[in-house]
Amino acid sequence: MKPVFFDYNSTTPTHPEVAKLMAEIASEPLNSSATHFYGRKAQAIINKAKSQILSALNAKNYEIIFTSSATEATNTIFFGGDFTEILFSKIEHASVYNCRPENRKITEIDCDANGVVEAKNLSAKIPQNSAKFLVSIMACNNETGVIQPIEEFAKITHQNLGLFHSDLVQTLGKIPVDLEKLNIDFASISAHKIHGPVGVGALIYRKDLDFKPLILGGKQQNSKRAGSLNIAGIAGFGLAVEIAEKNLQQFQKIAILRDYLEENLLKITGGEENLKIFGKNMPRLANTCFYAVKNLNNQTQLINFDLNHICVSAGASCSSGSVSSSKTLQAMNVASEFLSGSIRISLSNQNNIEEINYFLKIFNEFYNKKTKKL
Amino acid sequence: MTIKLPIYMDYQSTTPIDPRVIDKMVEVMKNDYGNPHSRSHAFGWKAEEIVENARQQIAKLINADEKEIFFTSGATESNNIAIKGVAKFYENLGKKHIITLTTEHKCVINSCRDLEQEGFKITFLPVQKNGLVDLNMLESAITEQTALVSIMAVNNEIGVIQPLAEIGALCRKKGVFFHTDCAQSFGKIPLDVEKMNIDLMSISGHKIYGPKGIGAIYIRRKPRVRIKSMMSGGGQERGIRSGTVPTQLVVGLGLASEIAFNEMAKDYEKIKKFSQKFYDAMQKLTHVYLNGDLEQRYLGNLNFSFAGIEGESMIMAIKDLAVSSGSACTSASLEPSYVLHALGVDDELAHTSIRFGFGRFTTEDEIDYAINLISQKVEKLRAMSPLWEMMQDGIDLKSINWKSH
Repeated sequence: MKPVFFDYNSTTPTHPEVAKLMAEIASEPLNSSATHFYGRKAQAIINKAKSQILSALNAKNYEIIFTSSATEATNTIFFGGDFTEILFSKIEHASVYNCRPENRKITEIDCDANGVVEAKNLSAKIPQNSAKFLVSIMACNNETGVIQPIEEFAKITHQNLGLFHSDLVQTLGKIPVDLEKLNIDFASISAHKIHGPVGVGALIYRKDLDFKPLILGGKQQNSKRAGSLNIAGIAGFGLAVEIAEKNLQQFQKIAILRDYLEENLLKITGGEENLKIFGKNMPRLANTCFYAVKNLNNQTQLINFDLNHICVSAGASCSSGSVSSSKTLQAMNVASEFLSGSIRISLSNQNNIEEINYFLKIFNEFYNKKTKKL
Repeated sequence: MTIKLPIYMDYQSTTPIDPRVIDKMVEVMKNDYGNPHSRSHAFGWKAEEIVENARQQIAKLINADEKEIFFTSGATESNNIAIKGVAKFYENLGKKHIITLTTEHKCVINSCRDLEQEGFKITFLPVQKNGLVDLNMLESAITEQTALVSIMAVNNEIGVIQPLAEIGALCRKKGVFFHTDCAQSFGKIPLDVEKMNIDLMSISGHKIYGPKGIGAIYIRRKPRVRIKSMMSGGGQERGIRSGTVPTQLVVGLGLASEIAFNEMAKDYEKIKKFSQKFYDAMQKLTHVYLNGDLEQRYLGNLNFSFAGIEGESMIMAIKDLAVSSGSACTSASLEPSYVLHALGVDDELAHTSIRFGFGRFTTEDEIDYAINLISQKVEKLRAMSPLWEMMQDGIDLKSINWKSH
């Protein structure tokens, strides 16, 4: 049987229209730095992608540089910005959490039991000297899907004369984003989470801000990121953003499937005493469900799901190779009997009710077997 | 036979993807879209298998072990990692000196300049008139403090091939690491990290009919080369380079490498024939000079200076040919090439230099068309040029005291 893919927060298949466009573009020798016909054509493609992305984010006063990933985008600003201190939350993705330039002070911000970063904790930790600082808080958590009040965080940061960065990797194409309104200074985004190609990301920054490049070389991208541009990938990114923005309403409907799933998970297990759904009552991404079963190790759950051709993850895929429990859940102070039992389900419009029912059937059998044993 | 214009002769700047590579990439995009770092399901494992297979295809082409290949976004990033990564790891051991050439690619030069500002000592070795490194000069530049020698294999602007085996042997003897930027040579000429004693190598996808946005770096395991990574995050690529590995780009680079492995001799045979024909035709025009050594050269790159013609008017006259007057990354600026300067080519000739690139998809008809077009235009432009007239009269242009205006 065709595997059931419930891991769309880790990566997504490329949209067929995007793949088609990329294949067309890739067949031509396009280097945007060249002065001849193909060079101009490449430049036009990049400009189009830029405007597709910036207009989707309502980012008139912003510039964009294309990178190889959101990880690179975040590294670029963390290493290249003029800061003496960087503050970020304890629930950040590894690309932020592990990005700790040696000569900058790093400060971590707590979150509450629902996985929401605490504004009061941010206020308390803002440097009181005249240090130049950057605050980085993700807009939507990759594991719980919980939406963070970043507009408020940006405001607190600006009141204290700092700059604000947000990892929008899980946000782009999933909820409306208005950069002008949010008033954030830097944002990292990624193409492969929204049915665009892997290997393309971008750093978006307010036009009046400056930073040093991470990768040095030619004068591409206003000397802010050297290296020949990945023209086909960038075009694919632009189109993927445009399609995702058009389908934003549609995306919210995934919550129907997700809520149905959660409701039944609770039924099967007898309720919240035995199964926790993290951030359930918070504003959340429509496609994400992060649950944990009491005293039921996620490795055994994963093996069982895999044997039944269901693709889920224990948490973020970049750290899922390790068995250790989710950093996000630790930050939320989740009770120990739930800590190692977490499973993340992340859906897309390509999923259907039959797949959810199949998942519930497999879950039910396994749960009953395991609990009888216990 | 009709010819599609403009004719693409800028293979050093980028190459069209081989149709076989596109097909494979589209197939992977459609079916194998898993995140190769997802360890909990079949999509992740399949993607990982694809990535590991590509690693082997690349390793095979340079006689390396697949564990020594790390994926990056391109040769620019690889060069940054090699130079800054080695420098920053070994500085604590008192090794704060790097040697490179004045004719290296901008990303090598600028990485070195950045280190210089941080207090590292950088030696930018000049090259000989033919564009090649002087090995005696290199040997005497190496000191106890030298951590790394970075010398490219094939020069992007003039196509000369540096003596990698000799440089490698010298570096090994002296106990310094040897990094080589192989963006223009990987998949085009035989490279062997063992025979050439190469410790680090930068590799590009889009220069060998593979996709843009992907490259690799070879980092030797025995004796082990350590680097300080430039990007932090999920710790992918064994901590050398964080960020999701792009499966479909990697598969493209892998297949492009495999095709290069199988077809390098065939490709080169054709390129050599075209290159010879083109070179002979240019010689007939007289006062056309090849920049860089004629023998130690990758023949897919011929960089000529046309005396008695103004460079920009030449580019305009032959706009049916997509060519470049220098490397693509610097051609947006109209400064004369720093590479040609390093060879001692004077300003006039540097301004009229044009790089002609031939590759896998170049046809004989295209070569004939190009030769015919250039011959006609050169004659016409020279007929209009006072410079050419003076040259014919035997006036040394350098003796004229130009008035600025």
